[in-house]
Amino acid sequence: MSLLNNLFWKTLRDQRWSLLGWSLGLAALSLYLLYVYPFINHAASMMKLLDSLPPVIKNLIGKNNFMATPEGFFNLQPFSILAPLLFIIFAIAKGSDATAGEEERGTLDLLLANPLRRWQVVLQKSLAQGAASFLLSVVFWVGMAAGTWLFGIVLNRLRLAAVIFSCWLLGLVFYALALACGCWSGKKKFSIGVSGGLAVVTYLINAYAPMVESLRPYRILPPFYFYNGNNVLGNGLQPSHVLVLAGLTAFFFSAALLAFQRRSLSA
Amino acid sequence: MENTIIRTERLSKNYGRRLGIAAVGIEVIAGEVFGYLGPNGAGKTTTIRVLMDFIRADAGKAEIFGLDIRKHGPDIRRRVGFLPGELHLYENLSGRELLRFFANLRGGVDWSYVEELASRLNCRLAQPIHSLSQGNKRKLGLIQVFMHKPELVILDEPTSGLDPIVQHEFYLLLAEARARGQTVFFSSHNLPEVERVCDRVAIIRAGRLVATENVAILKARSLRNLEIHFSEDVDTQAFAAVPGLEVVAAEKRMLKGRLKGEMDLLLKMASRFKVSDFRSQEPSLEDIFLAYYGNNEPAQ
Repeated sequence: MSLLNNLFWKTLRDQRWSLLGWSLGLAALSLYLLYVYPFINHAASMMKLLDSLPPVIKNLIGKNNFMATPEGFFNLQPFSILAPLLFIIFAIAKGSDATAGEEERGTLDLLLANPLRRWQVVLQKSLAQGAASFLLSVVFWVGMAAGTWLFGIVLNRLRLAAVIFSCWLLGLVFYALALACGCWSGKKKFSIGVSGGLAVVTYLINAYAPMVESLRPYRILPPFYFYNGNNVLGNGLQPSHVLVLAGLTAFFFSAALLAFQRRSLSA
Repeated sequence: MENTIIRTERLSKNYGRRLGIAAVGIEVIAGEVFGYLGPNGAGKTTTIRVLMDFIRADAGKAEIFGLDIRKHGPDIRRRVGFLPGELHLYENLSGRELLRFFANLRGGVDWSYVEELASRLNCRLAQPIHSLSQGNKRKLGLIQVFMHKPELVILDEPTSGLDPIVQHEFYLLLAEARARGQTVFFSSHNLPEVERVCDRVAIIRAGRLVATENVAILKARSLRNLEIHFSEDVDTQAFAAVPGLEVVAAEKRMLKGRLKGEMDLLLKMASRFKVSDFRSQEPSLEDIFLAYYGNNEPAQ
C-alpha cells in the first residue's frame, strides 16, 4: 500500500524521519535513566539530604517519598517534568503546523482544491498525529520496560504503561489546543505562543498550588493535575482524570473544527 | 439557465481597509472558455478563491454546476481542476508522489493520462519538487489540473512563469478541453492572451465588474496606439476625419493617434502618401478601460 493513499498516511509519512529521531531519543533517555537509577538509589547520603528538604521544595522538584523506591524515583524523573515536557513539545509543534503551517506555506490551497471537506482534513491529520505520538509512547514504554529488565529493577510495567498513557493524553490536550489556535488564526507562531505559554503557566500553577494556600483551589485547573496528580506510577490510573484529559482534548478539537470550518484562508 | 456552469450574484468580499470584490455577477456557460480579465489587484484572485470556497463572501451567492459552493464543496471540487495563481507544492515529495497523492484523494484518475500529460509538457516526475525550477513546478500544477479530465477548469493566471513552448502546449490543452466540452474559467491580465483563447470575457476593475463581452466584439472594438511616419510633407490634421481615430500628435511628417475599431479607412488614407514607417501597438488594459468603460464605472 502506498503511503500517499490519503491524508492520514501522508501525514505520518511526512514525519517519518522526525519520528525516528524522537523514538531513538526516547529509547536512549529510558535506558539512561534506568542505568543511573541504581547509583542514585544507593547514594544514601543523597537520600538523607533529599529527605531533609522542606516539603515545599520537595513538592516543587517532584513529589514526596521520591528516590527511595523505583516508583518514587521514576515518578520524579522522567515523569514529573521531562516526559510531559517532551510530549508537549512534540504535540505543540505538530498541532500548530497541521493547518496553520500548511496555510503559511501555501500548500493548503491545492490540498483543499481536492474533494475533501475541511473537517476531514483536520480529522485525518489529527488521527495521524495521535497515532504518531502513540507510537512514541510505545517506544518509550518498550525502552523503559526493556531497561528495567536489563538492569534488574522491579517496576510494575502495567503502571509504567499507565503513566505513559497519561502522558500521551496530556500531549493530546496540548496538540488539540495548538491545533485550535492554528485553525482560528492561520498563524503558526501565534499557535505556538499561546499553547506554549499556557503549558508553562499551567505547569507552574500545578507545581506551586499544593504549597500556596491561595493557589490551592486552582490546582485542578491545569491539565497537569489530571496527568499525574494521583501519582500514576504508584497508584494507577484514575478513570476520572483520564476522562478529564480526554474531554479537554475533545473540547479543543471541536473548537479547532469549528474555527477551521469558518476560516477564510489567507492567500 | 440549465447549462450554466458558474453563476455568481452580487458576490462581495471586503478585506477591511482593502476592497476585495463588490457585487460581482458572472455567468459562465457550459463548454465556453471564459476569460476573467483585469489588472493586478482588481479582484480576480479574490473571486476565484471565493468560488473554490477558500474564502467566504460577505454577501451575494455563488453556484457551480447549479450547486451552492458552501454546501456542496466536495461534490463541486470533484468535478473541478484548479490552478492557483501562487502555486505552492509539497516540497518534500517528488512530482510523481505529489500527483499520486492528489490522484488518490480524487480517485478514478487514469494514470496513463498523467504520464501522457507529463511527457507532453516535458515534465520530469521523478525529481524532488524542491529541486525544480518555478516553470517546472507550474507544469506539475497544470498536470494536476487536467489529470482527472474535470468538467470545469479554474485557472488563476495560468501562463505566468511558463516558457513559450510550454505556453503553446498549454493553449493546446485548453483547445482540447474545449473540444471535449469542458468549461474553462481563467483569469489573466493579458488582453492578447484572452483574445486568443477565450469565447467571452468579463472585465473587472477595482473589485467591480465593468463589462462582460464576446471576445469577437472586444476584438472588433480593439484599440490601437498608432504612429505613422511619412517621407513627404502631409496634412496630418486631415486624418482627424477618420472615424474612431483620436489624434494625439500631428506633425508634417508624423501622426500619432489612438484608433478604436477598424483600421481600414486609416490605412487607405495613409497609403495615398509615401509612408516610411507604421507602428501599431496593443494598448494597456488601463487604456482600454478608459477608452471604453470610462473611469471606474460598474457594469449595468
